[in-house]
Amino acid sequence: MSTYDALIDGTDDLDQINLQIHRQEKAASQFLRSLVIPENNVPTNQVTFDRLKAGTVGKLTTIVKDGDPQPPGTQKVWSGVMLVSNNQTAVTGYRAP
Amino acid sequence: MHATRALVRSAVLLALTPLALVACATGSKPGFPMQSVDDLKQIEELEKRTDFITKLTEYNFASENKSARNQIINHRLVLMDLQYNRWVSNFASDKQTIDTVTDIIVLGLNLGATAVGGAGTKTLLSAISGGVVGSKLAIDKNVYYEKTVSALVAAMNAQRKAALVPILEGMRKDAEEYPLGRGLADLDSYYRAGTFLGALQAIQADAGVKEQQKNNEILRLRLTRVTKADVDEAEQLTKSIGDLNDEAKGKKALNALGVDTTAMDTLDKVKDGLQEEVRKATTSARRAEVKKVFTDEQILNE
Repeated sequence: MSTYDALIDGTDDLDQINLQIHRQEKAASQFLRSLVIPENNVPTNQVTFDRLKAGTVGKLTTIVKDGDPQPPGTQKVWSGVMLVSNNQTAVTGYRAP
Repeated sequence: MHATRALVRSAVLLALTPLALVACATGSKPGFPMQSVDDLKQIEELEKRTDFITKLTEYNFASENKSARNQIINHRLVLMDLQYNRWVSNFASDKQTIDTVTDIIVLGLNLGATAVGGAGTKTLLSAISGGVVGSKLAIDKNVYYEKTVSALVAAMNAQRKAALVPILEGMRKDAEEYPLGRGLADLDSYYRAGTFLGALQAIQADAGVKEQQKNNEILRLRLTRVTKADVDEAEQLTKSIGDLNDEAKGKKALNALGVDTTAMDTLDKVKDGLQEEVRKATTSARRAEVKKVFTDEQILNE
């Protein structure tokens, strides 16, 4: 399985970040991890996705701020730090098994 | 002769008066508002704190402890940030100070040259004015490499934010998983990220990574804002790719989207190509284009 990277603006709020991740996952992708990187000297979220078989709608990963409740029927798939509304934020990714 | 000297003295004083006024009136660095607290005083106070563990000699490395580890890391992080802020505001404001000061002196000298009489005096004041401008240019070029300072600060800020991430992540972990030694190494990286050398290395590395990615043709997308409707549309398009069983129809759609299909000799490869186009449709314009082609080629309705 191959991967690809997608950059998400550090200024986006969590709802928008989740929508952008979901859009990619609906396009035969699965969220793997995110990393804050300097892109052209601007801190940016670099999200890595696995490519799924063409025509496959991936399960949705939901990024939640640490301390907020885990979405029901999901399990933790990743945790780390993302730029959310331009703030370093401790977050966890949950996805249905 | 005395009269001329007095005129020159008056003109120079006239030139320097606005400068003195600016310096006294602001009391802060140009472009930087007055801090509500004194950075230097805070640094001194923090360095003297004894009510929590700040020294490595007080830390028991044989029995790592999360709370004590985080106290040391936090203490050093705050000190580093205060020092960094002081350093950045000092050298960034120096250039602005020089610019402001020289502009005012030049303005004053030119005004003085206009105000006083005598061709000789005017020539002398103009010469001083020219000298000040010349000094300013020399400072700009030799000391601050013209506009590179702002680029370096931007690079340092970005590097520091990235270098802060492993520290923040580490501080959430248990002491065994993230021992103080790791934390100190990460703090060292954080410090180096906020130096000119660190910024230059990052700029070079960034260029290297981009070149490598170009060479490897790794897909790297820049996502833009989307709506729930965009998410639903991606699902619709993906499902239609899953249902596709006409290779020729798929190739026609790919060609319409500007994709070379000569190497796509199976239905699966065509489907992969179509799926990649859906993934890569990161702008609303491209998404509309992909949807139109899928509709025109009757892939979406299949």
